[in-house]
Amino acid sequence: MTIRVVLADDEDLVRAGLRIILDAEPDLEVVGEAADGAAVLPVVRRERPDVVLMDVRMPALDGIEATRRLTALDAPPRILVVTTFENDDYVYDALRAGADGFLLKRTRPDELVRAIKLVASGEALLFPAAIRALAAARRPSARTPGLERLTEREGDVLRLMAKGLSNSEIAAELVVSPETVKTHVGNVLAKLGARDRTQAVIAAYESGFVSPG
Amino acid sequence: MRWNRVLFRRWSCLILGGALLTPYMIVGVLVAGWAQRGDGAAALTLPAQLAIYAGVLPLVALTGLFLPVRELEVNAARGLLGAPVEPAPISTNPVKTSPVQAGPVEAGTIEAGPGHEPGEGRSWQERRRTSAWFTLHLAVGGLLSGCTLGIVPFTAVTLLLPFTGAPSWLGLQAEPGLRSLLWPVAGLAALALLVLMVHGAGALLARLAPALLGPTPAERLAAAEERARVLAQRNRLARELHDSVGHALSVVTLQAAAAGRVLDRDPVPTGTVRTALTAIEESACAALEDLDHVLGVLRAGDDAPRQPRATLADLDALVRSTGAEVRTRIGDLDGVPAVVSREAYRIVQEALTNAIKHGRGPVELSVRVRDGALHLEVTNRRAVGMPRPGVSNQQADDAPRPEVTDQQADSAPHAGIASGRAAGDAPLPEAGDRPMAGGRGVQGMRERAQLLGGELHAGPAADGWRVTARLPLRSEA
Repeated sequence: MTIRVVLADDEDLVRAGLRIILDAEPDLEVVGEAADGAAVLPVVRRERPDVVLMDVRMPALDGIEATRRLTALDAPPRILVVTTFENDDYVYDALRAGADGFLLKRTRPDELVRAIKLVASGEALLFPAAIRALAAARRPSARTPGLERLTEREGDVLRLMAKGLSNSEIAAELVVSPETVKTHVGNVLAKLGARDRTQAVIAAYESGFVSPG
Repeated sequence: MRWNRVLFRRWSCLILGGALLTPYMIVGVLVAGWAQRGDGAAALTLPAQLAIYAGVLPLVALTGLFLPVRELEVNAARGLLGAPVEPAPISTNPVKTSPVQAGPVEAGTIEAGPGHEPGEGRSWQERRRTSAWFTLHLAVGGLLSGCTLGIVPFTAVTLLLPFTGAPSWLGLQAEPGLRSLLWPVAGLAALALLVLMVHGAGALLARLAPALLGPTPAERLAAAEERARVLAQRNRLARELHDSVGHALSVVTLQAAAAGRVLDRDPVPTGTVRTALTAIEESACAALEDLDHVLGVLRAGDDAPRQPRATLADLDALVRSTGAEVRTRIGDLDGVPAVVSREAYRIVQEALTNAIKHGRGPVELSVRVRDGALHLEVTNRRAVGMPRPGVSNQQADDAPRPEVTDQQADSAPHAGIASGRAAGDAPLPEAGDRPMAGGRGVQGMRERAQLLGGELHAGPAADGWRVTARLPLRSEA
């Protein structure tokens, strides 16, 4: 199955570079481009991509707001935020707004492709270290409701999710079947009211359930 | 000895005050003589002189308000009174900025803050304080100059009276002999009284000088505001540079990766590769131009070195150029990042300069990496009030900065003893942060260390002075 990708970046050269790299992959296809945040929504509605690569700083509508609007869609695509700098203040905002992970523009092509496939599968967290660092910079805020309703096993699963482990890795770690892990992950997301793994892990860090570092 | 020097310097400051008062007194005498219809001699009696003295003081105060005497007085107070008067803050170099790239950047220029040209844009607060000081200096100086002129010859004459007796024109009753011994006693007492008065007046003036001549609160505030403004502007420029260069390098990486990707294809899409190469070339070029431009702006006003800035690899040359005996213990410095290396070099340079200037005997220099940090240590014995033979300050000030050559930069770190050839070419920090006093140099070193997240300590050690610094090799994010 081909993964359909939309590129949102105001810089032509960045879009062109990404397109060349992604189109060279047999199972990836760039189906649309947008030069600003406002242009992303129509493209996504029309093309129904699996993944959107989203720049943060864009004219008209920035990547954070565009992410927020995309996640409000009925069947939202996975969103990968693409930035120039790792310690960009906006990365965290973008992740909170519902992005599934983030990438640096200088990422090597192999990693870029792997990241897109990973985030399309929805089974692991991208760059947990970065989220950890970003979350560490903020003080743990209010408790997330639902954390206390997690079973012990679900708590273990959430901790491993926060480390960036995929479902199969968690299964190996806990010596259970991947299907069981999938069920646990589903329960964790439901109890925390999280849209996806990223949201659940951010909530875990912010409430102090998982401590950064 | 030291006490004497202070007294005589302060005395000369008082005499200077008297000298400055002289023109006013002359005018006063002329006016008084004219008022008394040409009876000039009457104006020269002591009571008349005192009256004229009192009469000209308001004139002194008035001129003090308008004449640019502050700098003169500050110099006199610092040099002669030995008072710790801070010079009026001088506005820093104006940094002209221009937009780095298209974007919402205000195309502003930072102009120098309120000017501190003599007599230009002076605040009334500053004028009043300067005038008060000027008047005080001339009033006290005038009185004590008068006393000096009267008492010193008087004492000299009284010392002769027991031997010579008083000649009739002197108007004193004294015969040679023991009975006239009272005269020298009175003369010496008067001299002692004069010394006491000079001492008291000098101390009083030295105490008041910092308050009256130092920067006014408004001047301090203006200078601080201006510094903050310039710093903020530089900060903004640096951030923009970071953004734009980071952006350009991202494009370069991406396009290079893209070109690399398609090169494996058969046939190779040469058009795509060529486009990518052009994009790489242009982005890199634009980034360099941006760097050039912004660094040019950031450096404006600094004395930007024309040579590449020296690093720890240049320690050998630095040590040799000091001409002093420096025992070096230098470890393996391979993993030290360039920025740490450059700042460390400057710290060592400053520390060595201080050590050689203020201390004596061999200097111990140790530079090594331990626990993820660069550790510097400079130790030497303290001088006992003796300047180092062969190095006068003048020579040291004129010394050229150590030259940096490629060979020196390539030379491997070593351990050993470097011994000096000729004294006098001591290395100096660049103009601008040349230490005015020991404290300023330490402050500069400490700021360098702190900028890199490290720390620096300078203080007395077992039998001398020690500067230690720790600079982390990685920024602790």
